[in-house]
Amino acid sequence: MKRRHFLFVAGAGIASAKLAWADIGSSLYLTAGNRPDNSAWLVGVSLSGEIRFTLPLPSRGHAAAAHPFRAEAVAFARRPGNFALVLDCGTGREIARLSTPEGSHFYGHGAFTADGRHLLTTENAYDVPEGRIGIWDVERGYQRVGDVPSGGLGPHEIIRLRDGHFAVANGGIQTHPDFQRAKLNIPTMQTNLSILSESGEIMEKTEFPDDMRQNSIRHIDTDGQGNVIAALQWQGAPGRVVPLVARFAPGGEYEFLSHPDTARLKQYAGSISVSALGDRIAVTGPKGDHVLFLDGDGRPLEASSLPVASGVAKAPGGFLITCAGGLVHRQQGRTVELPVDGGWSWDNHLVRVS
Amino acid sequence: MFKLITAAIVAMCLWAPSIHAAETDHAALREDSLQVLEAQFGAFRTATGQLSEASRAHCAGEMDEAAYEDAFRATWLAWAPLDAYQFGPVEQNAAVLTVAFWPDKKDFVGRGLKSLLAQPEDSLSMPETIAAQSAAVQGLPAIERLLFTEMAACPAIVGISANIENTAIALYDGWFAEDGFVDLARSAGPENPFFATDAEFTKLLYTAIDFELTRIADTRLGRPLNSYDKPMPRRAEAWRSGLSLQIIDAQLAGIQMLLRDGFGNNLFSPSKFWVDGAIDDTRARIDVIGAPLGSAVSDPLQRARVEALQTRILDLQQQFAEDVGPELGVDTGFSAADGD
Repeated sequence: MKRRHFLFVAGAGIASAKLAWADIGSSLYLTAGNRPDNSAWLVGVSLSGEIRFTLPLPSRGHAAAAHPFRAEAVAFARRPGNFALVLDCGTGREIARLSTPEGSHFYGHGAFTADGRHLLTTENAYDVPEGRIGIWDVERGYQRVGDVPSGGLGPHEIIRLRDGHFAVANGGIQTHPDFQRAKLNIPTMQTNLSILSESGEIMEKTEFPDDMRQNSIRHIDTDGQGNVIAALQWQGAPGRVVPLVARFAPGGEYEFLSHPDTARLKQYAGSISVSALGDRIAVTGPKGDHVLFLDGDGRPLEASSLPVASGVAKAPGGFLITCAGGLVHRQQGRTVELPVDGGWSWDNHLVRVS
Repeated sequence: MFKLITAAIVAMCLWAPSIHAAETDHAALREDSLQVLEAQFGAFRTATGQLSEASRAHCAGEMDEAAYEDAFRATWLAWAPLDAYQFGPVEQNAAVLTVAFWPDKKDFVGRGLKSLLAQPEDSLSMPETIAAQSAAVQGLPAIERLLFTEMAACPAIVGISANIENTAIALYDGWFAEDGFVDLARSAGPENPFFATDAEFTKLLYTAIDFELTRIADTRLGRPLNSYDKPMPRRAEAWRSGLSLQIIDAQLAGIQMLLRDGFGNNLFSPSKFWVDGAIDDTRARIDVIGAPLGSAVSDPLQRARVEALQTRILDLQQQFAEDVGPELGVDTGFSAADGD
C-alpha cells in the first residue's frame, strides 16, 4: 500500500479512537480504478486531483459509501464480487472486510443509516432469484445482522434520503454468476424505484409503464427538494432512442427528463449527481464519452465530449468527474483539467466522502 | 499544472490510452463477420424447422427414435455457436435461457416438466402453451429430458420444438430483417443510439469469443470436473444425451469460422494461422478423451485429458488476447464502459 498522505492521530495514543470527517481536513473522494497491468485499486483523491492513498483490491471495485460522521468508508466489489472493505480514510488502511453469505454477491453499492449504526448493501440472492439489502452492524465491527428484500431484481445503487429513508434502484435485470455478466430476463424485466424505511420495510415502489419497464434504473442521487434523480440504462430494442434520466418526487410521481444529445450516451447513463446548490444535474456516459448537463428543473443544458466520463460527484461550484487521463472539475460551465499520472482506468463511480 | 479551458471538448481526456494503430478495416470486417453470423443463425433456424417437423413425425409414429434423436442432436449443435453472441437479439429474446437452460442446479427442468405435463394434453403441442411456462421447459434440455427418461415425450416435444423454432426465427429476424441489429451495426455514428464507431462491433464479436472461451473452461468443463476427489458427472451440460463434448467442439468450430472468415481478411500471418492451428489442436484434444464428458471426469486417465483440454482452452483465450486482439485494435480490457 502506498500512503502519500498520512494524517496525525496515531500520536494521540488511543489506538481505538475513531477519526471524524472533520479530522481529515480537506475534501476526499474515492474511486476504484485499474492500473495498466490490470491490478485493481481503491484510490483516494483530493479535489485538486492529488492521489491521497491507494489500496489494492482483490478484484475490480465499483463504488464506495461514506459513514455519516466517522472517517470511514466502505468500498465494494463490482458484481459479481463478494467482498467489501472498510477503510480508515485518515490512513487509507483497511480496518474490516465484509463478504456476502453463500448464494449472494454484492452489486457494488451501499449506504449508511443516518445514525451511522448500520450499513445497508445491495445484493443478489442469485439462486432464488431475489434482490436483497444486507444489513451490517457498524458498532460490532461490521457484523452482518440480516437482510431484507430490496423490492425487485437487481438492486444496484442505494442512497439515504434526507428523511433517513432509503431509495433503492432495482435495475430489474436478473444475472447469475454461472452466466458471468449475461442478462437473463430482458424480455420480462421490470425496473422500479423502491423507498425503504430505516428498518428496511418497503414503503413505496414506483414502476415505469410497459413501454419503459426495460429502462433500467441503476444510479441515483437526491436533490435538495427530496426528489430522486435517476440515470437509466435502456435494455429494450437497441435501436430505440429513449430518455435516460428520470426524476421521482416523494410519493411516487415521476417524469422522464429528455435531452437532445441523449443518443450520445449510447443507451447507457453511467453516474449521476446533483450539484450542491441543486441547480445542475450531471449525467456521465462512459460508453458514449459524453456528459449531459441539465438544470435544477430538469431542463437540458449543454453536452460535453469527455472520453470515458465515468464517476461524477459534487464539488465546489459544480462537479468532479473521472475520465480518461485523470479528472475534471467542472464549475460554472468551465472545466479545469486535473491530470492524474499512472495510466489509471477508473471504474464507474466517484464518491465524495468528506 | 492546472489549465483552465472553456471549450466543451477537454483536450486532456484525449489522452485515452490508444489501443492500437493497425489499419483494421472495421466496416469490411463487419461485413465478413455478418456473413458468418448469418450462416450460423440461419443454420439454427433451419435445424429448428427440421426438428419441429421431426417432432410431429415422431409423435405420429412416422419417424423412429434414432432418427428423431439425430434431428435433436443436430439442433443442439446448431445452437452451440450462438451461445457466444449474448447481446442484441439473443439478449432481447433471453434465448440463452429459453433455448438451452443450463446450469440447472435446482432441477428446474424436471420440476417444470412435471407441471407442464399436468396441463391438458392437447395443449402441449402448441408453442403458446410452452412459451407461457418457465424458461427451463422451453428448450432443448426439456426435450432431452423427455427423450432420455421415462416421461411422456409426445405431444410435448411438438410444442417445445415449435417454440424453439419461433425463437430461432425471432433471432434470425432480430439480426437480419429490416431494422434489425445488422442495420444498427451498419450505421454507427453519433446519432446511432447503440454503436458510436465501426470498431465497436469488432470489439463486441471479439469479446463474445473471449466470453465463450471462459464459459467453456470455467463452466462447461469446470462444473463437472469440480475436484479430483469429487467429480460431478451430472453437472455436465447435456450429460443425458452425451452431447457435452460435441457442444464444446461445435462452439470451437463456430469461433474458428468467425476467426477465419469473419476476421481473417484483417489478420495477417502468422497470427491467423497460429491461432487457427491452436483451435485445431484444441478440437483434436476433444477427440482423444474417449468418453462422454459426464463419465470422463470420474476416470483418472480421461479426467487428465479433460483437464488438459481445459488448460488448452485458457491458453487459446490467451492467444486471442496476444495475437488477435492487438492486431484488430480491440481488447476486452478494463473499462468503465463495460457497464454496470
